[in-house]
Amino acid sequence: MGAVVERFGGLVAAQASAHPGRARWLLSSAYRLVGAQMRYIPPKGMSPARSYMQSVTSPMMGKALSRPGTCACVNVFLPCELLHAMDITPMIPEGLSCYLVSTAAERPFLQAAEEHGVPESYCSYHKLLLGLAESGVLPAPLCVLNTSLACDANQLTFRRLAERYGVPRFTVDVPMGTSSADLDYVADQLRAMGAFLEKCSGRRLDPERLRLAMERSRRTVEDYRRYLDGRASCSRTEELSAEMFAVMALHPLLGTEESARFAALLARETIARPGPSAGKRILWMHTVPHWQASMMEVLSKSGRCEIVACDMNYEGLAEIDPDRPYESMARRLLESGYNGGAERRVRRSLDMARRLNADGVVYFCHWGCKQTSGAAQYAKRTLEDAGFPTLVLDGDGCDSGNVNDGQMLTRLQAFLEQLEG
Amino acid sequence: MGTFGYTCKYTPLELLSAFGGQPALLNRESPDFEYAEGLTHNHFCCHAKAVLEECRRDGLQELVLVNCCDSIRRAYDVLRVQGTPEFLFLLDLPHHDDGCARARLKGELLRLAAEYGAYTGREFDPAAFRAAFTPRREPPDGPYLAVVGARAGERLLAALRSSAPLPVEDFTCGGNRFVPPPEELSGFDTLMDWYAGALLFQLPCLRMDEIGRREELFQQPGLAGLIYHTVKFCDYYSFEYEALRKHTRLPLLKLETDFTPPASGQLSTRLEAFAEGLSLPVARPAARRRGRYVAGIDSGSTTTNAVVLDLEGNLAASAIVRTGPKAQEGARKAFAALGGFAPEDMAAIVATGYGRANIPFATGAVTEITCHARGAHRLRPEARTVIDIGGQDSKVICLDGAGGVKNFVMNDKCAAGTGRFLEMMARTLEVDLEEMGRLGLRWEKELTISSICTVFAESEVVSLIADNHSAADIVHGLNQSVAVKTAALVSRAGGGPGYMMTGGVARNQGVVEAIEARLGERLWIGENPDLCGALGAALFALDSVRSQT
Repeated sequence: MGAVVERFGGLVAAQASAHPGRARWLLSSAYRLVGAQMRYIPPKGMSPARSYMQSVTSPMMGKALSRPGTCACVNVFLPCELLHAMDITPMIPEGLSCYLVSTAAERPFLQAAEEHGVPESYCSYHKLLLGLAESGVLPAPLCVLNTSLACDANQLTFRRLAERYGVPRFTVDVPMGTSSADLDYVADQLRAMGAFLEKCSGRRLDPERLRLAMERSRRTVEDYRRYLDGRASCSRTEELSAEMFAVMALHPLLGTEESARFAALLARETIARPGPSAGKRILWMHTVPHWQASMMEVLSKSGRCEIVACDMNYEGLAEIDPDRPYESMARRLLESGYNGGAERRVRRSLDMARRLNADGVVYFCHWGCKQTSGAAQYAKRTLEDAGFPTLVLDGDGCDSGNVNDGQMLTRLQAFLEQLEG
Repeated sequence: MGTFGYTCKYTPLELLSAFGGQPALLNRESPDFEYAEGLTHNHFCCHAKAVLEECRRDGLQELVLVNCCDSIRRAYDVLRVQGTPEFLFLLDLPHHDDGCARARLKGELLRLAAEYGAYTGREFDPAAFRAAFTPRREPPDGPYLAVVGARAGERLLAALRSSAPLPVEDFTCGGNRFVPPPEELSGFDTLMDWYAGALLFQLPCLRMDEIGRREELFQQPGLAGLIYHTVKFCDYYSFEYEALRKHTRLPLLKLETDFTPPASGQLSTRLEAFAEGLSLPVARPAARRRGRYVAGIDSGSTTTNAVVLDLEGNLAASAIVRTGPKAQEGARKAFAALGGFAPEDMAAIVATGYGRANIPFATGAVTEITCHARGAHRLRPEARTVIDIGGQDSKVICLDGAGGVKNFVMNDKCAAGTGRFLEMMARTLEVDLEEMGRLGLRWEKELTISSICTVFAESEVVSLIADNHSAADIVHGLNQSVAVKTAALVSRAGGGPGYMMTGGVARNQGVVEAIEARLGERLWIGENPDLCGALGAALFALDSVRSQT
């Protein structure tokens, strides 16, 4: 992490407790600046698709901090086409957490959360968000919306946020099955969510605008599938954060023109550049510790390997029918690779490992994620039985306090030696 | 007749009983998690791991789980792959409790009935269904304590019941299940519709979306205090505890366990201190001897400290010695170091600290929480928040104006933020503790040691040494990390200005300054910060003498 970023993080940390407004201004200004940089002077070597996506998400993070009254706080799996159809900006905690750790500003917020009783073993993405709220740096949104998918933390974090801010909350309960009754159950809840949003925002939901948002989602998903097809015979070396930007495009931003443009760019770039990989092709499961210099060094700079896909970016590529928006969004949730049990999640990654010609799989156990850690041994056995060496790597997507960096690096390097040997 | 294991109160016990099943609540602690961690991971909910261990230990053939949480869902996944138990079912419980959710749950009940019926080869027996409903458990007539929060294991409950000063009720989901019986037995389909609603309308657990009705739990008549239980790597209940801590007027004790058999030391200290704070008529130390002095002995993990007072309450002597392997020997050594005082000279001796139950010549025992509060009040009547960092414990005690305990919190099993943590780090840095205290004041560069775990922190320190950072800067980083832990404890306890620090670590000026910077307040530290607990114990001994004269 650069000295400037560290100094910036220190500045935010110094302001966070006594002057949360100043800390908010610093963060929001920095995110807007990063957005402008990505749009006008993107870093050398970064693909146009990635820099474009970052130019979209960065100001969105800034807006979440500076104009929260126009934002709805949502979890990453909540279908957001309804919001886009009503010009309500999603405020995404997981995204904010990623940005905070990228600006080395996470520490005071993690501490604030623990001082307010958030357990040490809690998912640090959620812990960071709660710390942002507790410290007063994150102001009140219009409302809070969450799905029960993909983990328990959604129920806890978003309930606590709604209580703290005194704003209304809506939960979409996602059953484990995929029957037509399950589909109707979720679709009806999404219809009710539309009515809830109309009430909260005072805006009307125009069915035609929703249909257009769904149409953009359909294009995005189709282009992302084309990208994955191309990725099978293409080598790309990218920053670790690249997959996290794709997570934003395929989840909260799905349904926007920006997300559709990103997927189209990505597909075009990939299909235009076929070629063999120099290093090992790694399929990554769960979040990526993009903040960790040692991981970055090995995974994106060493030339020894590349991440060919992250399972958060192919868990929800279900078919979309723009004329049936609620059923389409419901199907995306029900058929998610993160729903319905470990077998589905592992099976989907196994299929993807075959499709993308992966050499091995890294199963990343992000601290506090019980559903990932609980299936670690099952995933390893299943993937290895199918011929894909698998590393269960313990770490944390955004809290260095839960990480033994040296040990992680040794494990990853030993795994690469195993693949190379 | 088959016995089926279950863990969740939403399990349709009555329906399974109607097919001849006998329910068995899986609620036993496990001495280790070797099998469970082999199937899952060490960072996995300890209750779920105990369930996996119990299934294997008892050779359970039938298990009905509910997707209560991520961990139980994964426990189901790994058991399914194992192919055991023979009958394994996961009920998909909705998060809502409205009409749509009820219809969904009814579908799940019908699915379970079909699968369990096929497994047992039995038909649904309406009479057995009706007979399986059990009446609501009524709380005792008089005052009682309740365990709330996460499921308490069998042995923890037994330990709480045997050492608490009042009857203990289990208000966790292991003990508060109540489903009222049906008024009439209509057709199966209609009955299941009613049953789904009745199951969903139970007092909600925290995984449900609407949890407002949980307030009922805390408003029961006769409820005199709450023991709030949380389980390591189960996050649900820490959130409710935090809300309760801010709002409840009931005395509240937090206990975190890892679903292994409870360790007696910390558990009894916390329970006894809690009982002392409840202002109940608990057994007070008795004066049994004649003598012109009283003594307090604080038998800690590292040192044993003794204070002798005359009968006017004036300090007559004090001593600090290493405890050594046995508390009893440590106490004898402390007496020997007092210079001319023997146990026989004392009208009363009150023991406190971890070894308090093992001092044969003590006439009574009071926990170190209450003793520290008492000693702190004597030394500094303005003190309202005592930060005590000793060898293996760090605790924060909030005092009222009379020196009584308003609230207290202690670190959990982890050593981070304690004297032991600093000792281990000093060893890594190859300096002694005194030198470490001095080094921490000479820092030049701010280093962050962020690991919460002592073992991880040690590896961070090793990396910093390898990066040629100065020992002074590293020590300062360690001091900051202790300060962060301590500030979190202060916040959890609801502490405020009027800070005082006790315990051996109060001698470490670097740590003291780091805590002061973190709290934005000065800490008052007495001349002998190690002796505060022993002084409090001696004052209790004096009380016992005075109450007899």
